[in-house]
Amino acid sequence: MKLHSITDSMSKVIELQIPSSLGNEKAAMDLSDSLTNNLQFSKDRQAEIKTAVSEACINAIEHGNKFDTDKKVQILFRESKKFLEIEVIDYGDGFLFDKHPDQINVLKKIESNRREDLRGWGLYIIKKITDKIEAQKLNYGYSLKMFFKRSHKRGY
Amino acid sequence: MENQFSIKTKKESSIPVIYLYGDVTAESDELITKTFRKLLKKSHTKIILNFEDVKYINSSGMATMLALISEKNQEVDLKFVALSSHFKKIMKLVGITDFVDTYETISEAINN
Repeated sequence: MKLHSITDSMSKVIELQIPSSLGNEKAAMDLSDSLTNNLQFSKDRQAEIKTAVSEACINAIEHGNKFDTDKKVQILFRESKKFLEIEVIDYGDGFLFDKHPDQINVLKKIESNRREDLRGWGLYIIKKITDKIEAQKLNYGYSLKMFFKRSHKRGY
Repeated sequence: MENQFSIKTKKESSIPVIYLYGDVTAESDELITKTFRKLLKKSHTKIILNFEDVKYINSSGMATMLALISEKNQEVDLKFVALSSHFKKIMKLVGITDFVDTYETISEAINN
């Protein structure tokens, strides 16, 4: 696991790299907790941001890097005046972000009686928690940027 | 990195309570499901899950909870106890709380 901190004139950037196996997302969650605490997010919002970080890392480990521990998931925390921006980068091809539904019919999932149908909540939870989100294909992988307003007022 | 997950089942006023310890993730799915299925076979009408010692639930853990809802028949009341306000919010977001009642304490869950 690697941790770097860079400060330029515009913003402070902290980078964390984690190996692609489940459980390592907790290092990113711990870092998120510490940063959001320093930035004085409310306790509730800190927990929400931590959940978004966890789900984005799990997606990157599972779907992006396909549990290949030689491939790292890169997590960048950028502070600006308005936002805390958290970018999660993996080596995958990405996903059809815009095609992912904003609403999910949970009853339909339950009634299907197929366990695999009950999965797939990560991106849905991320979408509901973040103030803004951007997904982008890179030359070497895929980036998901999550933005959290520093003066957060909205709930879900 | 994961907190070792374990389960304890105990009857409180003749109602089975599943005490969860550790992280509720894909790793804990099998043990939770197996324990729940055993209780379903014994024809209980109420089953309580206690989350007091759970510090982390991810989306796979949420899927496990939905699987329990999906597997139980309508005569069985599934009740969740001691969820943090954050986990309650996420469960509401996913829609789990439409099918499960949540309580602060085991005695509240038993009496309702």
